[in-house]
Amino acid sequence: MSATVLGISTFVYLAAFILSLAAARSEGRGLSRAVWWAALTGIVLQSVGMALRWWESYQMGVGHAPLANFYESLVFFAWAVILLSLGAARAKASPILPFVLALAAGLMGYASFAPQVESGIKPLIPALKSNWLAIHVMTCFLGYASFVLATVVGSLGLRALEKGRDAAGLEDLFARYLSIGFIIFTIGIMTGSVWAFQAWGRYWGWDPKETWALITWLIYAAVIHERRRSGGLARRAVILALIGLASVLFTYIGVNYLPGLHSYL
Amino acid sequence: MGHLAAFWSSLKCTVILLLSLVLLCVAGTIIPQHTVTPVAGQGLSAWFLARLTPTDLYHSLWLACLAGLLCLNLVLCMRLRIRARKQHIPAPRFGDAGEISLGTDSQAMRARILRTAPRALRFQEKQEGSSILLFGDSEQVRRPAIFGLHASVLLIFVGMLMSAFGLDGHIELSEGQTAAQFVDAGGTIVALGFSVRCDRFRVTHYDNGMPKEYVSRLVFLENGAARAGGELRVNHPLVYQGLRFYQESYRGQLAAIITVTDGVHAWSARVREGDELAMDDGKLRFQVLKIGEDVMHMGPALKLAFDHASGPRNLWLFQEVDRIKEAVPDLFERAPSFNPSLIEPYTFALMELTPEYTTGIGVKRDPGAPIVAVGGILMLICLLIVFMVPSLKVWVRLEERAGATTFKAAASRSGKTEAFPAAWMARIRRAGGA
Repeated sequence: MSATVLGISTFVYLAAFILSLAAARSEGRGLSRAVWWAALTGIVLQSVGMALRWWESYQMGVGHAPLANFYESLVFFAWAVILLSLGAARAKASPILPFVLALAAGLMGYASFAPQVESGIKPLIPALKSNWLAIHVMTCFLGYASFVLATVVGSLGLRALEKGRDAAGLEDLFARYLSIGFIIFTIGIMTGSVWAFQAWGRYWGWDPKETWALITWLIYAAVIHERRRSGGLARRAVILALIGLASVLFTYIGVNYLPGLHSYL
Repeated sequence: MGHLAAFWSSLKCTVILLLSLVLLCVAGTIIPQHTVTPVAGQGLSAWFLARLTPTDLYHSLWLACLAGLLCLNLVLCMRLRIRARKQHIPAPRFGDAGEISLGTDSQAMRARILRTAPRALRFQEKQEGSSILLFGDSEQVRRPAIFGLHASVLLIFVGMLMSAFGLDGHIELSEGQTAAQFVDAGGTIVALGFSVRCDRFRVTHYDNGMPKEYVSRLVFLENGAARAGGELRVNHPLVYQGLRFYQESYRGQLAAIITVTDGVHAWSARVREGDELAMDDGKLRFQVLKIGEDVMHMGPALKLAFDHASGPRNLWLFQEVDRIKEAVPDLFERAPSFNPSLIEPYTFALMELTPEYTTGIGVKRDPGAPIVAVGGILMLICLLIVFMVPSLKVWVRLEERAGATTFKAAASRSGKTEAFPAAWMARIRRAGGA
């Protein structure tokens, strides 16, 4: 049941993405509003799908939040990106919607259709049976999502500035997404450290996933300092944010090909 | 010197150091890492060489130097922030802001402005002839938070440094076994100062065979008397005498109960692979080389090794040797090592095999962890203040003129001039009934 609902939400995101491309060429606001509502429908459906999956896990006797494997993390990542973009998109940055909808549809599609992504509900290994699992994974992925949005908004804003257009709204959003992402991702790293201390007796072990999370954190710390140094939406800050985005992707996916304690995510 | 100090306290320097740390960490995940321990007695140069190796970057002087330089940068930035507290009111940015007359006296107006101001603003006041200049600045709230944020990084570094003086060891215990020492990460055996006994180990599995939970029942003993105990689970450590015990791993193995007789006396023992045993007052000595549930498709068996006067000898001890011999009557002639009476005058028998687990327990002490925790909490609080409190500056000039007070206001957010906050203006008007 949950798979069906999540599948429908994938197609809603895809439809919203196509609609957003049409909206980008249209003069009126009607289509833009339709895109926003379509995205909202998608995330509501996705939330229902995730809740159903959680419920189904309890029916199977292995009950846990749907945040415990690669499939579930892809679904949550898509959800986080849409959630964080919707509020901003309605206010002032509808140009980001085509990007986030494409990303969400891509993540959901990859989760649902890629043969190497195991979508079944699996029981938890003893190390993952902790209340820290949900808060750690949620904060990390909300942080990733915020960093992705900061980079998209920053790139769009820089492009607008270079074309001589007003980018004050995008500049403001760039700062907000950076701030939100940095706070949430810091909480993500901290909760991971507390959990590691509880599970293995050490808060930091230079595991590749930990190290790459630190790399991402350091890069976005550099973005924040560079933004302050250059006084706003400067080219250098945006380039650093793009490097940060590559680091987010490597922290999430690339690092799984290195041996370590997080290879299940 | 001034240029040097300016560089080390600059944001440019911060960005360069952060990116240098990034490069070092990236290298650490690409180059296979292993802990390099300098060999004692080889001098300072050997120590330096060991600490410069790219295969142990996380314990290297490279990382220590970068962290040290970042600390220097942080300390210099903090010093700047302490000095910045003594700043004067910056020049107002009124630009073309219009004047508003609100019809009350300037002191009442001043009180109204301060009462309705955003909570993050701290005000300074200056009399300029007949007018009052109010300057509100959220930096006075944000500045200590930025200071605290940088201090938190220093605290975390100090905590991590102290963690290096902690203990990190491992104990393996079978059910019923007691240990008074552990093996540390460098392979050294360290005394616990007390004993720990595993009374019971239990592992449960899901239907698909995955381990669901594993639990060790531990008892801590001093001078043979139990002092404390509890169930040790993954994610649920036990603490005793300042040491933290973690359920790390487990290993399944087979144990066997064997009996030995010389026709007069009989001995019995529970044995595991690798055990070395002595019986009959040391006259009989042997080692258990192997325990199998189905050896050579003939059922449960042990392989024992003896140091015999005629040279080393092995004995295959099958549980069902009588049944095998029925099928192969000349078994002992064809394979003498299958004969339970091979080592005269003793006769061996395998009574039963039982599965047995060895629990892997981590033993840790980390004096730096509480400091890192304090640093983390401080960092989080300061981050929230720094990012959630906007960098807002406001200037308000109040002037009494012909029985009315004129109000002129300007604001800047993150260094950029912007309109005076409309919501605040509405509050000022409401507070005066205007």
